[in-house]
Amino acid sequence: MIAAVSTGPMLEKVQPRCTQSASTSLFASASLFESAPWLNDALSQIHELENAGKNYPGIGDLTIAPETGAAVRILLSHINLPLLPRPAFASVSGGAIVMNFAAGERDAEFTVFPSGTVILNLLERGGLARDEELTPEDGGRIQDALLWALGRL
Amino acid sequence: MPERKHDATLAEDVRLLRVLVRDDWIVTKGGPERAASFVFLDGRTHEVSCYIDSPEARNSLRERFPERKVAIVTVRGATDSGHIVARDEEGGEGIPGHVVLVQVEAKRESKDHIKKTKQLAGTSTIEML
Repeated sequence: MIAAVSTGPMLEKVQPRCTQSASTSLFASASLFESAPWLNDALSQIHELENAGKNYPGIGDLTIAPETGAAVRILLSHINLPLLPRPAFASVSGGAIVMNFAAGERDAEFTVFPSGTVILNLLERGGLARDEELTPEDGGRIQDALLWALGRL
Repeated sequence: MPERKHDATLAEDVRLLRVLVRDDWIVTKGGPERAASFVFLDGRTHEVSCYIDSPEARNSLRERFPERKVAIVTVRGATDSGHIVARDEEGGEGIPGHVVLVQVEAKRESKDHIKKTKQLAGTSTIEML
């Protein structure tokens, strides 16, 4: 699990017990992002979606609910792969988010609803290879989906 | 949310417009420009706003969404993918021909729900408003 996107209690769990200067602590956080460069970009994109979300009367409400953003961040926290393709994010009517990791001919696409439900679509050459219903906490299945997209499973 | 009923008076070849309000609602990867697979999905109300294609609807939509494109599906495409097409003039913000597409065959937020909304998006074509 990548602690940098974990929730409070998880962060507490990984806090080192020894005394540490502020500069060393900051360096440790920065190195987490350096070891998974896709993650920093992913978090920025989520933040942008949250800020850009707006209601289009007569079309749909694209405001991202805080619950959706939190669910996506929890999902990301279960990915323990330093090297991944840059994920693409899109906001969906009704405050859902679609997150797509494209790796050559394979895609792992996660649709995250405000309710916390996650639908995973594994695509090969654009066709559906497999789909599953998940929660953001299904770390093993999330990790396996990405390994499949990378051709490592 | 009011109970929705399919409007059986709508002919199968009636065209329905879905305004593509964001650039990332259009994809080009692996083929020609097309609507993203999720444009007929709503994450909360599970109702998707469309407009019956007409010059009046297009003029009104163009005023509000200049330079935007629309994904076009037919009533047949909607019903074939498990949706009903219900009239909802009140929800159209004054734009005529407002309808909502509601997926009624699959459980909400299920993988089948996603499959059917993707199926509908796959039948769509794109035009400028």
